[in-house]
Amino acid sequence: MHNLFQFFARFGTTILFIILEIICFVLIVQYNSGQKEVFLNSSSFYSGLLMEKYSDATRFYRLSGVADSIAKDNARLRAELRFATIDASFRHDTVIDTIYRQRYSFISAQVVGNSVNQIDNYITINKGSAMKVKPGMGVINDAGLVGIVRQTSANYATVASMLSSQTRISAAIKRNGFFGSLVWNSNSSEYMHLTDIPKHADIVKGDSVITSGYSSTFPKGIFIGRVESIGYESGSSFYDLKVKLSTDFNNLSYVYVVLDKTKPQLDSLANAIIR
Amino acid sequence: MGNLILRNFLRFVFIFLLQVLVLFNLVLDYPVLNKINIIIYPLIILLLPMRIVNSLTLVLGFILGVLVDMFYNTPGIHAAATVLTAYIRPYVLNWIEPRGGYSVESSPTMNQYGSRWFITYAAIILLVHLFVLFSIQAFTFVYIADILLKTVMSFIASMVFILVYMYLFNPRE
Repeated sequence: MHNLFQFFARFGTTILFIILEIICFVLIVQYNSGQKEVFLNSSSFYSGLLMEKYSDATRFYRLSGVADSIAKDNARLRAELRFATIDASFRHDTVIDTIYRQRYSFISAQVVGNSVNQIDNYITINKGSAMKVKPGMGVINDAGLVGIVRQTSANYATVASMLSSQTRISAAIKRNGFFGSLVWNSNSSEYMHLTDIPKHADIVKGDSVITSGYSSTFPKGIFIGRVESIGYESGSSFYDLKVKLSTDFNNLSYVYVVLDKTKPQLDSLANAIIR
Repeated sequence: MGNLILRNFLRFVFIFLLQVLVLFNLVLDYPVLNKINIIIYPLIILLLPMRIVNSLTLVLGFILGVLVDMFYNTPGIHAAATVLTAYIRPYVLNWIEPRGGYSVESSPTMNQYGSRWFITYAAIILLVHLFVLFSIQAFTFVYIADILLKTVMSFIASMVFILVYMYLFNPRE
């Protein structure tokens, strides 16, 4: 017994150190293996609340930028409304449009936490499962893509930013429809790389890159950015296109969560094939 | 005694909030400069009093790391680095012991042992902390060049912030 006490007196700190480090590494590895329910993240109640309070306190200083982006967004929406304003008298009361049924709806949310210089960046927004935000939904803003919802609590959600080493988003060249995967190499918050586009495709600098719509995460045709420079993957027959993003990740204030009404159908089809 | 605990607790809260709310969002959006992560929370561990029990330092380091992880969305990474920082603290203190030795009642501050001593002390621990942090984050040494670049850049920036804090508040204990 005496020896045991002596042992702990001598090595107790080291043993505690090893135990704590093991706990840490279990957390790291569990998280990386895609554990669904990780409680330690910024969508949890207390950290979400604290981030929101801080964001509220500093919002004043960001207001001019916010006002600009809202004004731009309003202008765009107004442009889309022009038939409604001119032809109001022609509106019928009960038209059930069976050709263009609503597929997407959008939930607006405020960004309360954001980072751009980590290897995997996350954004915290102030809408959660109480507002029907679910993991896997796309997030956009008025300029372009923002990310994909990773986890939700009742009132907050953690969004995996596009600026993440794990991002792979299906994107297409608007002009000719060639599509590939958009990835981030953690160098700059302004650029991503569009890979997997075959070399016989005709690409010029300045081509618009849009979402391909091949997944239910983002609607088709959302502007992502423009081709900044054309490179080649060495030893392969694919381009490596540097794309300048239209989204300013350093200055995110308001975003929209994309709700796809057909997602359950698409997912069940995909699952049926996998099974 | 109560005063000492209170001071350390308030410092914990203040530096922690500064880290996760202000410095987390502080990014220079230029090539290379955007690698900078300003990390000052190890200062909480650095400034704990001399006579603190080593295992308590470890536990405090673990709690601090987990709290930082909650805001950085990186479960375990900051905790692992901070626990290591807490573990090596007594060894670093031993290693750079000034000629007169330490007084048990003191805290390892600039005020007590001079700015040159403190800068050495903070620099060693911060360098280890940042290198370990970025290595665990990458989880492989394949990106060793990137890890080293990040470590050096972040070290310089974080050190400036730590020294500004020390000159501004000049804590005695």
